[in-house]
Amino acid sequence: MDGVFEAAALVMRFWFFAVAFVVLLGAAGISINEYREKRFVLGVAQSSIGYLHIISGPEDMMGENVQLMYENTVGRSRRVNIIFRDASVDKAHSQIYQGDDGRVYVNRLGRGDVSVNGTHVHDTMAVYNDDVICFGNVVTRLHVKEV
Amino acid sequence: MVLERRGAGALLTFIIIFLISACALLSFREGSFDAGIAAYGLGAALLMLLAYNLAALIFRHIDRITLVICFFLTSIGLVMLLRLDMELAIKQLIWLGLGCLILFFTVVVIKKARDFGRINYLLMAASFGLLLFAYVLGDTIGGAKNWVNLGPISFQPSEIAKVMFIIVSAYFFAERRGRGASVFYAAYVGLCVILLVLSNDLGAALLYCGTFLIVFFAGTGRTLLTVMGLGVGAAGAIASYYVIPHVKTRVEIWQNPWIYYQTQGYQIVQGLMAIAAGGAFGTGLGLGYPEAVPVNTSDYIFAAICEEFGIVFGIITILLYLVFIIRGMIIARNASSRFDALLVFGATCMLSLQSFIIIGGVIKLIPLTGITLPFISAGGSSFIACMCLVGIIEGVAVKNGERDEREINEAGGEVV
Repeated sequence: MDGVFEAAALVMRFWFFAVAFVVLLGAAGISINEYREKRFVLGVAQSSIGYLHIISGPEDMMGENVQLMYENTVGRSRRVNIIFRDASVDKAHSQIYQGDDGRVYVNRLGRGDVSVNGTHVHDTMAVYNDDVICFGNVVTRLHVKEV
Repeated sequence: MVLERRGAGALLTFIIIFLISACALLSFREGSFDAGIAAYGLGAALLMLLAYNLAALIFRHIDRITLVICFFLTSIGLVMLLRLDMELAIKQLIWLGLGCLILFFTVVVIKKARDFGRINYLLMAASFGLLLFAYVLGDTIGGAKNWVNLGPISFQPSEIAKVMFIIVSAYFFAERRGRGASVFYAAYVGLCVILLVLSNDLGAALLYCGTFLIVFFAGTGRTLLTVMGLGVGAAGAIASYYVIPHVKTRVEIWQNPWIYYQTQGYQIVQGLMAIAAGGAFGTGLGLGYPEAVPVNTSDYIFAAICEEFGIVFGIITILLYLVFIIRGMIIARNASSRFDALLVFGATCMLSLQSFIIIGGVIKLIPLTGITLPFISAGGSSFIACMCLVGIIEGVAVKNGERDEREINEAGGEVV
Protein backbone atom coordinates (compact mmCIF):
# COMPACT_ATOMS: atom_id res chain seq x y z
CA MET A 1 0.00 0.00 0.00
CA ASP A 2 2.87 2.36 0.89
CA GLY A 3 4.41 1.82 -2.52
CA VAL A 4 1.12 2.60 -4.25
CA PHE A 5 0.71 5.78 -2.16
CA GLU A 6 4.26 6.84 -2.95
CA ALA A 7 3.78 6.28 -6.67
CA ALA A 8 0.45 8.15 -6.60
CA ALA A 9 1.96 11.06 -4.65
CA LEU A 10 4.86 11.29 -7.11
CA VAL A 11 2.57 11.31 -10.13
CA MET A 12 0.11 13.73 -8.56
CA ARG A 13 2.85 16.34 -8.09
CA PHE A 14 2.40 17.15 -11.77
CA TRP A 15 -1.37 17.07 -11.44
CA PHE A 16 -1.28 19.65 -8.62
CA PHE A 17 1.11 21.79 -10.62
CA ALA A 18 -1.16 21.59 -13.67
CA VAL A 19 -4.26 22.55 -11.68
CA ALA A 20 -2.50 25.49 -10.02
CA PHE A 21 -1.13 26.58 -13.39
CA VAL A 22 -4.58 26.46 -14.97
CA VAL A 23 -6.04 28.49 -12.08
CA LEU A 24 -3.25 31.05 -12.46
CA LEU A 25 -3.60 31.28 -16.24
CA GLY A 26 -7.38 31.40 -15.98
CA ALA A 27 -7.35 34.13 -13.34
CA ALA A 28 -4.80 36.19 -15.26
CA GLY A 29 -6.50 35.63 -18.64
CA ILE A 30 -9.99 36.45 -17.38
CA SER A 31 -8.61 39.51 -15.59
CA ILE A 32 -6.97 40.85 -18.76
CA ASN A 33 -10.00 40.19 -21.01
CA GLU A 34 -12.44 41.55 -18.46
CA TYR A 35 -10.35 44.69 -17.98
CA ARG A 36 -10.13 45.34 -21.74
CA GLU A 37 -13.82 44.65 -22.36
CA LYS A 38 -14.95 46.76 -19.41
CA ARG A 39 -12.74 49.64 -20.46
CA PHE A 40 -14.13 49.52 -23.98
CA VAL A 41 -17.80 49.25 -22.96
CA LEU A 42 -17.49 51.94 -20.28
CA GLY A 43 -15.63 54.18 -22.72
CA VAL A 44 -18.46 53.83 -25.22
CA ALA A 45 -21.09 54.29 -22.48
CA GLN A 46 -19.39 57.44 -21.25
CA SER A 47 -19.31 58.97 -24.72
CA SER A 48 -22.97 58.17 -25.31
CA ILE A 49 -25.72 60.77 -24.84
CA GLY A 50 -28.51 58.21 -24.36
CA TYR A 51 -30.36 55.69 -26.47
CA LEU A 52 -33.40 55.08 -28.64
CA HIS A 53 -35.68 52.26 -27.52
CA ILE A 54 -37.42 50.75 -30.54
CA ILE A 55 -41.13 50.41 -29.88
CA SER A 56 -42.19 49.30 -33.34
CA GLY A 57 -40.44 48.87 -36.67
CA PRO A 58 -38.27 46.14 -38.20
CA GLU A 59 -39.01 42.87 -36.43
CA ASP A 60 -35.38 42.01 -35.80
CA MET A 61 -34.91 45.29 -33.93
CA MET A 62 -38.07 45.38 -31.84
CA GLY A 63 -37.42 46.09 -28.17
CA GLU A 64 -33.74 46.85 -28.82
CA ASN A 65 -31.88 49.86 -27.50
CA VAL A 66 -29.86 51.81 -30.07
CA GLN A 67 -27.10 53.82 -28.56
CA LEU A 68 -26.74 57.51 -29.36
CA MET A 69 -23.39 59.22 -29.68
CA TYR A 70 -22.92 63.01 -29.91
CA GLU A 71 -23.91 62.97 -33.58
CA ASN A 72 -25.95 60.22 -35.24
CA THR A 73 -27.40 59.80 -38.70
CA VAL A 74 -30.49 57.63 -38.98
CA GLY A 75 -31.36 55.92 -42.26
CA ARG A 76 -31.53 52.76 -44.34
CA SER A 77 -28.10 53.00 -45.97
CA ARG A 78 -24.99 51.25 -44.70
CA ARG A 79 -23.24 54.59 -44.46
CA VAL A 80 -25.33 55.88 -41.56
CA ASN A 81 -24.76 55.18 -37.85
CA ILE A 82 -28.23 53.95 -37.01
CA ILE A 83 -29.61 51.60 -39.64
CA PHE A 84 -33.36 50.83 -39.80
CA ARG A 85 -34.07 48.31 -42.58
CA ASP A 86 -37.56 49.58 -43.28
CA ALA A 87 -39.04 50.76 -46.59
CA SER A 88 -40.50 53.87 -44.93
CA VAL A 89 -37.04 55.05 -43.91
CA ASP A 90 -34.89 57.02 -46.37
CA LYS A 91 -31.27 56.14 -47.04
CA ALA A 92 -30.26 59.13 -44.92
CA HIS A 93 -33.41 60.00 -43.05
CA SER A 94 -32.61 62.14 -40.06
CA GLN A 95 -29.96 63.29 -37.63
CA ILE A 96 -29.98 63.23 -33.84
CA TYR A 97 -27.24 65.23 -32.16
CA GLN A 98 -26.31 67.06 -29.03
CA GLY A 99 -26.08 70.80 -29.50
CA ASP A 100 -23.57 73.16 -27.92
CA ASP A 101 -26.21 74.07 -25.35
CA GLY A 102 -26.27 70.43 -24.16
CA ARG A 103 -29.77 69.78 -25.53
CA VAL A 104 -30.55 66.98 -27.97
CA TYR A 105 -31.96 67.88 -31.40
CA VAL A 106 -33.51 65.91 -34.21
CA ASN A 107 -33.71 67.09 -37.82
CA ARG A 108 -34.92 65.81 -41.16
CA LEU A 109 -32.49 65.01 -43.96
CA GLY A 110 -34.62 63.41 -46.67
CA ARG A 111 -38.23 63.42 -47.71
CA GLY A 112 -39.26 60.79 -45.20
CA ASP A 113 -41.41 61.64 -42.25
CA VAL A 114 -39.90 62.48 -38.85
CA SER A 115 -42.20 63.26 -35.95
CA VAL A 116 -41.77 63.92 -32.25
CA ASN A 117 -44.74 63.06 -30.03
CA GLY A 118 -46.95 63.27 -33.11
CA THR A 119 -45.63 66.66 -34.25
CA HIS A 120 -43.95 66.61 -37.64
CA VAL A 121 -40.38 67.84 -37.78
CA HIS A 122 -39.86 70.18 -40.73
CA ASP A 123 -36.38 71.43 -39.94
CA THR A 124 -34.86 70.90 -36.49
CA MET A 125 -36.56 70.26 -33.16
CA ALA A 126 -35.28 69.91 -29.61
CA VAL A 127 -36.16 66.56 -28.07
CA TYR A 128 -36.29 65.48 -24.45
CA ASN A 129 -36.25 62.37 -22.33
CA ASP A 130 -39.18 60.00 -23.00
CA ASP A 131 -40.16 61.73 -26.25
CA VAL A 132 -41.55 59.37 -28.88
CA ILE A 133 -39.69 59.90 -32.15
CA CYS A 134 -40.93 58.32 -35.39
CA PHE A 135 -38.71 57.81 -38.41
CA GLY A 136 -41.16 56.76 -41.10
CA ASN A 137 -42.94 53.75 -39.59
CA VAL A 138 -40.23 53.12 -37.04
CA VAL A 139 -41.37 54.27 -33.62
CA THR A 140 -38.76 54.89 -30.93
CA ARG A 141 -38.63 56.35 -27.44
CA LEU A 142 -35.74 58.63 -26.57
CA HIS A 143 -33.78 58.17 -23.34
CA VAL A 144 -31.37 60.98 -22.68
CA LYS A 145 -28.56 60.30 -20.23
CA GLU A 146 -28.68 62.32 -17.05
CA VAL A 147 -25.66 64.57 -16.71
CA MET B 1 -23.77 47.21 -26.01
CA VAL B 2 -23.49 44.36 -23.55
CA LEU B 3 -20.92 43.95 -20.81
CA GLU B 4 -20.50 40.31 -20.08
CA ARG B 5 -19.35 39.66 -16.53
CA ARG B 6 -16.92 36.81 -16.47
CA GLY B 7 -17.85 34.09 -14.07
CA ALA B 8 -15.18 32.22 -12.25
CA GLY B 9 -17.16 28.99 -11.94
CA ALA B 10 -14.68 27.07 -14.11
CA LEU B 11 -11.78 28.21 -11.92
CA LEU B 12 -13.71 27.25 -8.80
CA THR B 13 -14.25 23.79 -10.30
CA PHE B 14 -10.47 23.40 -10.68
CA ILE B 15 -9.99 24.53 -7.09
CA ILE B 16 -12.48 21.96 -5.88
CA ILE B 17 -10.79 19.30 -8.00
CA PHE B 18 -7.47 20.30 -6.40
CA LEU B 19 -8.92 20.12 -2.91
CA ILE B 20 -10.70 16.80 -3.39
CA SER B 21 -7.81 15.10 -5.20
CA ALA B 22 -5.32 16.25 -2.54
CA CYS B 23 -7.61 15.03 0.25
CA ALA B 24 -8.20 11.75 -1.59
CA LEU B 25 -4.43 11.23 -1.81
CA LEU B 26 -3.90 12.12 1.84
CA SER B 27 -6.71 9.78 2.93
CA PHE B 28 -4.56 6.82 1.82
CA ARG B 29 -1.41 8.10 3.49
CA GLU B 30 -1.55 5.88 6.56
CA GLY B 31 -1.86 2.70 4.54
CA SER B 32 -5.65 2.38 4.72
CA PHE B 33 -8.49 4.64 3.62
CA ASP B 34 -9.22 7.40 6.13
CA ALA B 35 -12.83 8.45 5.60
CA GLY B 36 -12.34 11.45 7.91
CA ILE B 37 -9.85 13.09 5.56
CA ALA B 38 -12.03 12.41 2.52
CA ALA B 39 -15.05 13.88 4.36
CA TYR B 40 -12.94 16.90 5.29
CA GLY B 41 -12.13 17.51 1.62
CA LEU B 42 -15.77 17.19 0.62
CA GLY B 43 -16.85 19.48 3.45
CA ALA B 44 -14.30 22.15 2.51
CA ALA B 45 -15.28 21.92 -1.17
CA LEU B 46 -18.99 22.23 -0.33
CA LEU B 47 -18.32 25.20 1.93
CA MET B 48 -16.41 27.03 -0.81
CA LEU B 49 -19.08 26.21 -3.40
CA LEU B 50 -21.79 27.48 -1.10
CA ALA B 51 -19.89 30.64 -0.16
CA TYR B 52 -19.05 31.45 -3.80
CA ASN B 53 -22.60 30.93 -5.05
CA LEU B 54 -24.15 32.81 -2.14
CA ALA B 55 -21.75 35.69 -2.68
CA ALA B 56 -22.53 35.81 -6.41
CA LEU B 57 -26.27 35.62 -5.65
CA ILE B 58 -26.39 38.27 -2.92
CA PHE B 59 -23.84 40.65 -4.39
CA ARG B 60 -24.29 40.69 -8.17
CA HIS B 61 -21.15 42.71 -8.75
CA ILE B 62 -18.79 40.94 -6.38
CA ASP B 63 -15.31 40.49 -7.86
CA ARG B 64 -15.46 36.76 -8.45
CA ILE B 65 -11.84 36.27 -9.51
CA THR B 66 -10.58 37.89 -6.30
CA LEU B 67 -12.85 35.60 -4.30
CA VAL B 68 -11.73 32.53 -6.23
CA ILE B 69 -8.02 33.37 -5.78
CA CYS B 70 -8.66 33.83 -2.07
CA PHE B 71 -10.37 30.40 -1.99
CA PHE B 72 -7.52 28.74 -3.89
CA LEU B 73 -4.93 30.11 -1.49
CA THR B 74 -7.13 28.97 1.40
CA SER B 75 -7.44 25.49 -0.09
CA ILE B 76 -3.64 25.22 -0.43
CA GLY B 77 -3.47 26.08 3.27
CA LEU B 78 -6.18 23.57 4.19
CA VAL B 79 -4.43 20.75 2.30
CA MET B 80 -1.09 21.57 3.89
CA LEU B 81 -2.63 21.77 7.36
CA LEU B 82 -4.44 18.50 6.79
CA ARG B 83 -1.09 16.97 5.93
CA LEU B 84 0.65 18.47 8.99
CA ASP B 85 -1.93 18.66 11.76
CA MET B 86 -5.48 17.35 11.44
CA GLU B 87 -6.68 19.23 14.51
CA LEU B 88 -5.45 22.56 13.16
CA ALA B 89 -6.95 21.76 9.76
CA ILE B 90 -10.40 21.24 11.32
CA LYS B 91 -10.05 24.51 13.23
CA GLN B 92 -9.03 26.28 10.03
CA LEU B 93 -12.11 24.91 8.25
CA ILE B 94 -14.28 26.39 11.02
CA TRP B 95 -12.41 29.69 10.58
CA LEU B 96 -13.13 29.50 6.86
CA GLY B 97 -16.86 29.23 7.56
CA LEU B 98 -16.73 32.12 10.02
CA GLY B 99 -14.47 34.09 7.69
CA CYS B 100 -17.02 33.80 4.86
CA LEU B 101 -19.76 35.15 7.15
CA ILE B 102 -17.49 38.02 8.17
CA LEU B 103 -16.66 38.68 4.52
CA PHE B 104 -20.39 38.97 3.69
CA PHE B 105 -20.92 41.25 6.68
CA THR B 106 -17.97 43.48 5.71
CA VAL B 107 -19.21 43.74 2.11
CA VAL B 108 -22.63 44.91 3.37
CA VAL B 109 -21.04 47.46 5.74
CA ILE B 110 -18.65 48.85 3.12
CA LYS B 111 -21.43 49.01 0.54
CA LYS B 112 -23.61 51.09 2.87
CA ALA B 113 -20.91 53.24 4.46
CA ARG B 114 -19.68 56.51 3.01
CA ASP B 115 -16.58 57.07 5.14
CA PHE B 116 -17.61 56.02 8.70
CA GLY B 117 -17.39 59.67 9.84
CA ARG B 118 -16.85 60.05 13.55
CA ILE B 119 -16.81 56.28 14.07
CA ASN B 120 -13.22 56.55 12.87
CA TYR B 121 -12.24 58.11 16.20
CA LEU B 122 -13.87 55.14 17.93
CA LEU B 123 -12.00 52.74 15.64
CA MET B 124 -8.81 54.64 16.42
CA ALA B 125 -9.36 54.25 20.16
CA ALA B 126 -10.39 50.60 19.77
CA SER B 127 -7.36 49.64 17.69
CA PHE B 128 -4.97 51.44 20.02
CA GLY B 129 -6.74 49.89 23.01
CA LEU B 130 -6.36 46.41 21.52
CA LEU B 131 -2.61 46.90 20.98
CA LEU B 132 -2.22 48.32 24.49
CA PHE B 133 -4.19 45.42 25.89
CA ALA B 134 -1.85 42.95 24.17
CA TYR B 135 1.20 44.83 25.44
CA VAL B 136 -0.02 44.95 29.04
CA LEU B 137 -1.88 41.65 29.42
CA GLY B 138 -0.71 39.63 26.44
CA ASP B 139 1.10 36.30 26.47
CA THR B 140 4.49 35.90 24.86
CA ILE B 141 4.50 33.28 22.11
CA GLY B 142 7.47 32.90 19.75
CA GLY B 143 9.25 35.88 21.31
CA ALA B 144 6.41 38.36 20.66
CA LYS B 145 3.93 39.51 23.27
CA ASN B 146 0.97 39.55 20.94
CA TRP B 147 -1.50 36.95 22.14
CA VAL B 148 -4.39 37.56 24.50
CA ASN B 149 -6.09 34.70 26.33
CA LEU B 150 -9.66 35.25 27.47
CA GLY B 151 -10.57 31.86 28.90
CA PRO B 152 -11.46 29.60 25.99
CA ILE B 153 -10.77 32.31 23.42
CA SER B 154 -7.29 33.44 22.46
CA PHE B 155 -6.56 35.91 19.72
CA GLN B 156 -3.97 38.30 18.30
CA PRO B 157 -5.21 41.88 18.85
CA SER B 158 -2.78 43.27 16.23
CA GLU B 159 -4.62 41.29 13.53
CA ILE B 160 -8.01 42.79 14.42
CA ALA B 161 -6.47 46.25 14.91
CA LYS B 162 -4.94 46.26 11.43
CA VAL B 163 -8.38 46.28 9.78
CA MET B 164 -9.33 49.33 11.88
CA PHE B 165 -5.94 50.89 11.09
CA ILE B 166 -6.70 50.69 7.35
CA ILE B 167 -10.14 52.29 7.74
CA VAL B 168 -8.77 55.09 9.95
CA SER B 169 -5.86 55.75 7.55
CA ALA B 170 -8.18 55.92 4.52
CA TYR B 171 -10.44 58.34 6.39
CA PHE B 172 -7.66 60.72 7.43
CA PHE B 173 -6.00 60.82 4.01
CA ALA B 174 -9.31 61.15 2.17
CA GLU B 175 -10.73 63.87 4.38
CA ARG B 176 -7.58 65.94 5.03
CA ARG B 177 -9.13 67.57 8.04
CA GLY B 178 -6.35 70.07 8.73
CA ARG B 179 -3.10 70.19 10.62
CA GLY B 180 -4.57 69.30 14.02
CA ALA B 181 -6.15 66.10 12.75
CA SER B 182 -2.96 65.18 10.85
CA VAL B 183 -0.87 65.53 13.99
CA PHE B 184 -3.43 63.50 15.91
CA TYR B 185 -3.38 60.77 13.26
CA ALA B 186 0.46 60.79 13.07
CA ALA B 187 0.59 60.39 16.86
CA TYR B 188 -1.82 57.45 16.60
CA VAL B 189 0.34 55.70 13.97
CA GLY B 190 3.52 56.38 15.95
CA LEU B 191 2.04 55.05 19.18
CA CYS B 192 0.67 51.93 17.46
CA VAL B 193 4.09 51.14 15.97
CA ILE B 194 5.88 51.84 19.28
CA LEU B 195 3.50 49.49 21.10
CA LEU B 196 4.12 46.77 18.51
CA VAL B 197 7.90 47.21 18.74
CA LEU B 198 7.74 47.12 22.55
CA SER B 199 5.67 43.92 22.28
CA ASN B 200 8.43 42.49 20.06
CA ASP B 201 5.83 42.00 17.32
CA LEU B 202 8.25 43.25 14.68
CA GLY B 203 6.44 41.74 11.71
CA ALA B 204 3.26 43.61 12.59
CA ALA B 205 5.24 46.81 13.27
CA LEU B 206 6.84 46.55 9.83
CA LEU B 207 3.45 45.86 8.29
CA TYR B 208 1.81 48.88 9.93
CA CYS B 209 4.75 51.16 9.04
CA GLY B 210 4.96 50.00 5.44
CA THR B 211 1.21 50.23 4.87
CA PHE B 212 1.12 53.70 6.44
CA LEU B 213 3.89 54.96 4.16
CA ILE B 214 2.35 53.51 0.99
CA VAL B 215 -1.13 54.85 1.83
CA PHE B 216 0.43 58.19 2.82
CA PHE B 217 2.09 58.47 -0.58
CA ALA B 218 -1.08 57.42 -2.40
CA GLY B 219 -3.21 59.78 -0.34
CA THR B 220 -1.03 62.87 -0.41
CA GLY B 221 1.31 62.39 -3.38
CA ARG B 222 4.10 64.04 -1.36
CA THR B 223 7.32 62.34 -2.46
CA LEU B 224 9.64 64.30 -0.19
CA LEU B 225 7.61 63.57 2.94
CA THR B 226 7.33 59.90 1.95
CA VAL B 227 11.10 59.67 1.46
CA MET B 228 11.55 61.39 4.82
CA GLY B 229 9.14 58.86 6.33
CA LEU B 230 11.18 56.05 4.79
CA GLY B 231 14.30 57.65 6.26
CA VAL B 232 12.72 57.81 9.71
CA GLY B 233 11.65 54.17 9.32
CA ALA B 234 15.16 53.15 8.29
CA ALA B 235 16.68 55.12 11.17
CA GLY B 236 14.22 53.43 13.53
CA ALA B 237 15.19 50.02 12.15
CA ILE B 238 18.91 50.77 12.58
CA ALA B 239 18.32 52.12 16.10
CA SER B 240 16.31 49.03 17.05
CA TYR B 241 19.20 46.89 15.77
CA TYR B 242 21.47 48.46 18.40
CA VAL B 243 18.89 48.89 21.17
CA ILE B 244 16.73 45.75 20.95
CA PRO B 245 18.78 42.52 21.27
CA HIS B 246 15.98 40.52 19.62
CA VAL B 247 16.32 42.57 16.41
CA LYS B 248 20.11 42.28 16.40
CA THR B 249 19.85 38.51 16.72
CA ARG B 250 17.34 38.32 13.86
CA VAL B 251 19.59 40.35 11.54
CA GLU B 252 22.68 38.33 12.43
CA ILE B 253 20.82 35.09 11.81
CA TRP B 254 19.61 36.43 8.49
CA GLN B 255 23.15 37.36 7.45
CA ASN B 256 24.49 33.89 8.12
CA PRO B 257 22.01 31.39 9.50
CA TRP B 258 24.37 28.45 8.98
CA ILE B 259 26.66 29.35 11.88
CA TYR B 260 23.62 29.49 14.19
CA TYR B 261 22.18 26.27 12.79
CA GLN B 262 22.02 24.50 16.16
CA THR B 263 20.40 27.45 17.92
CA GLN B 264 18.47 30.47 16.62
CA GLY B 265 19.25 29.80 12.95
CA TYR B 266 17.66 26.36 13.02
CA GLN B 267 14.30 27.52 11.67
CA ILE B 268 15.72 29.44 8.69
CA VAL B 269 18.16 26.69 7.76
CA GLN B 270 15.51 23.98 8.03
CA GLY B 271 13.19 26.12 5.92
CA LEU B 272 15.83 26.63 3.24
CA MET B 273 16.71 22.95 3.25
CA ALA B 274 13.02 22.03 2.95
CA ILE B 275 12.63 24.31 -0.09
CA ALA B 276 15.80 22.87 -1.65
CA ALA B 277 14.70 19.30 -0.92
CA GLY B 278 11.46 19.89 -2.78
CA GLY B 279 13.16 20.89 -6.02
CA ALA B 280 11.11 22.09 -8.96
CA PHE B 281 8.08 19.81 -8.53
CA GLY B 282 8.33 18.83 -4.88
CA THR B 283 8.79 15.56 -3.07
CA GLY B 284 5.10 14.72 -3.46
CA LEU B 285 2.26 15.41 -1.03
CA GLY B 286 2.86 13.36 2.10
CA LEU B 287 6.34 12.25 1.03
CA GLY B 288 8.40 15.15 2.33
CA TYR B 289 9.55 15.89 5.83
CA PRO B 290 8.12 19.34 6.62
CA GLU B 291 7.77 18.31 10.27
CA ALA B 292 11.46 19.18 10.58
CA VAL B 293 10.69 22.87 10.02
CA PRO B 294 9.59 24.69 13.19
CA VAL B 295 6.28 26.62 13.01
CA ASN B 296 5.49 24.83 9.75
CA THR B 297 1.74 25.41 10.04
CA SER B 298 1.97 29.15 10.48
CA ASP B 299 4.93 31.39 9.61
CA TYR B 300 6.84 28.67 7.76
CA ILE B 301 4.01 27.07 5.83
CA PHE B 302 5.48 28.40 2.56
CA ALA B 303 8.58 26.25 3.09
CA ALA B 304 6.37 23.21 3.67
CA ILE B 305 4.41 23.99 0.47
CA CYS B 306 7.62 24.34 -1.55
CA GLU B 307 8.97 21.07 -0.15
CA GLU B 308 5.95 18.91 -1.01
CA PHE B 309 4.45 20.75 -4.00
CA GLY B 310 7.70 22.15 -5.41
CA ILE B 311 9.29 25.52 -6.03
CA VAL B 312 7.33 25.97 -9.28
CA PHE B 313 4.09 25.59 -7.30
CA GLY B 314 5.48 28.11 -4.78
CA ILE B 315 6.12 30.57 -7.62
CA ILE B 316 2.56 30.02 -8.91
CA THR B 317 1.32 30.81 -5.39
CA ILE B 318 3.30 34.07 -5.41
CA LEU B 319 1.94 34.90 -8.88
CA LEU B 320 -1.60 34.30 -7.62
CA TYR B 321 -0.96 36.83 -4.87
CA LEU B 322 0.23 39.16 -7.61
CA VAL B 323 -2.99 38.72 -9.63
CA PHE B 324 -4.93 39.33 -6.41
CA ILE B 325 -2.96 42.55 -5.80
CA ILE B 326 -3.44 43.78 -9.38
CA ARG B 327 -7.19 43.19 -9.15
CA GLY B 328 -7.23 45.08 -5.85
CA MET B 329 -5.40 48.00 -7.46
CA ILE B 330 -7.85 48.06 -10.39
CA ILE B 331 -10.79 48.12 -7.95
CA ALA B 332 -9.10 50.97 -6.03
CA ARG B 333 -8.52 52.89 -9.26
CA ASN B 334 -12.16 52.53 -10.32
CA ALA B 335 -13.56 53.59 -6.95
CA SER B 336 -15.86 56.59 -7.06
CA SER B 337 -14.73 58.21 -3.82
CA ARG B 338 -11.30 58.98 -2.46
CA PHE B 339 -12.10 57.16 0.76
CA ASP B 340 -13.11 53.97 -1.07
CA ALA B 341 -10.01 54.13 -3.26
CA LEU B 342 -7.66 54.53 -0.29
CA LEU B 343 -9.52 51.88 1.67
CA VAL B 344 -9.07 49.25 -1.04
CA PHE B 345 -5.55 50.41 -1.79
CA GLY B 346 -4.63 50.13 1.90
CA ALA B 347 -6.23 46.69 2.27
CA THR B 348 -4.47 45.40 -0.85
CA CYS B 349 -1.14 46.89 0.23
CA MET B 350 -1.45 45.37 3.67
CA LEU B 351 -2.11 41.88 2.28
CA SER B 352 0.66 42.18 -0.31
CA LEU B 353 3.15 43.54 2.18
CA GLN B 354 2.28 40.78 4.63
CA SER B 355 2.87 38.15 1.94
CA PHE B 356 6.15 39.80 0.95
CA ILE B 357 7.42 40.05 4.56
CA ILE B 358 6.83 36.38 5.36
CA ILE B 359 7.78 34.86 1.99
CA GLY B 360 10.84 37.15 1.90
CA GLY B 361 11.75 36.00 5.41
CA VAL B 362 11.32 32.31 4.58
CA ILE B 363 13.47 32.47 1.44
CA LYS B 364 16.04 34.65 3.26
CA LEU B 365 15.48 37.72 1.12
CA ILE B 366 14.88 39.86 4.21
CA PRO B 367 15.34 39.21 7.96
CA LEU B 368 12.65 36.90 9.26
CA THR B 369 9.82 38.42 11.27
CA GLY B 370 6.99 36.32 12.59
CA ILE B 371 3.87 36.97 10.59
CA THR B 372 1.32 34.73 8.91
CA LEU B 373 0.98 34.06 5.19
CA PRO B 374 -2.42 35.52 4.21
CA PHE B 375 -5.19 32.90 3.69
CA ILE B 376 -2.73 29.98 3.88
CA SER B 377 -1.25 29.94 7.39
CA ALA B 378 -3.17 28.44 10.29
CA GLY B 379 -4.62 30.95 12.71
CA GLY B 380 -8.07 32.29 13.36
CA SER B 381 -7.26 35.96 14.04
CA SER B 382 -5.11 36.23 10.95
CA PHE B 383 -7.62 34.46 8.72
CA ILE B 384 -10.56 36.53 9.96
CA ALA B 385 -8.55 39.75 9.47
CA CYS B 386 -7.65 38.67 5.93
CA MET B 387 -11.30 37.92 5.15
CA CYS B 388 -12.24 41.33 6.55
CA LEU B 389 -9.71 42.94 4.20
CA VAL B 390 -11.11 40.91 1.28
CA GLY B 391 -14.57 42.07 2.39
CA ILE B 392 -13.38 45.68 2.15
CA ILE B 393 -12.04 45.08 -1.37
CA GLU B 394 -15.21 43.26 -2.43
CA GLY B 395 -17.47 45.89 -0.88
CA VAL B 396 -15.92 48.61 -3.01
CA ALA B 397 -15.96 46.27 -6.05
CA VAL B 398 -19.74 45.87 -5.56
CA LYS B 399 -20.15 49.67 -5.36
CA ASN B 400 -18.07 50.11 -8.53
CA GLY B 401 -20.06 47.43 -10.35
CA GLU B 402 -23.41 49.00 -9.45
CA ARG B 403 -22.20 52.42 -10.65
CA ASP B 404 -20.86 50.95 -13.91
CA GLU B 405 -24.13 49.10 -14.50
CA ARG B 406 -26.11 52.31 -14.01
CA GLU B 407 -23.86 54.07 -16.50
CA ILE B 408 -24.17 51.28 -19.08
CA ASN B 409 -27.97 51.12 -18.60
CA GLU B 410 -28.24 54.87 -19.17
CA ALA B 411 -26.42 54.40 -22.46
CA GLY B 412 -28.90 51.71 -23.47
CA GLY B 413 -26.63 48.78 -22.77
CA GLU B 414 -26.83 46.04 -20.22
CA VAL B 415 -24.64 44.02 -17.93
CA VAL B 416 -25.22 40.27 -18.10
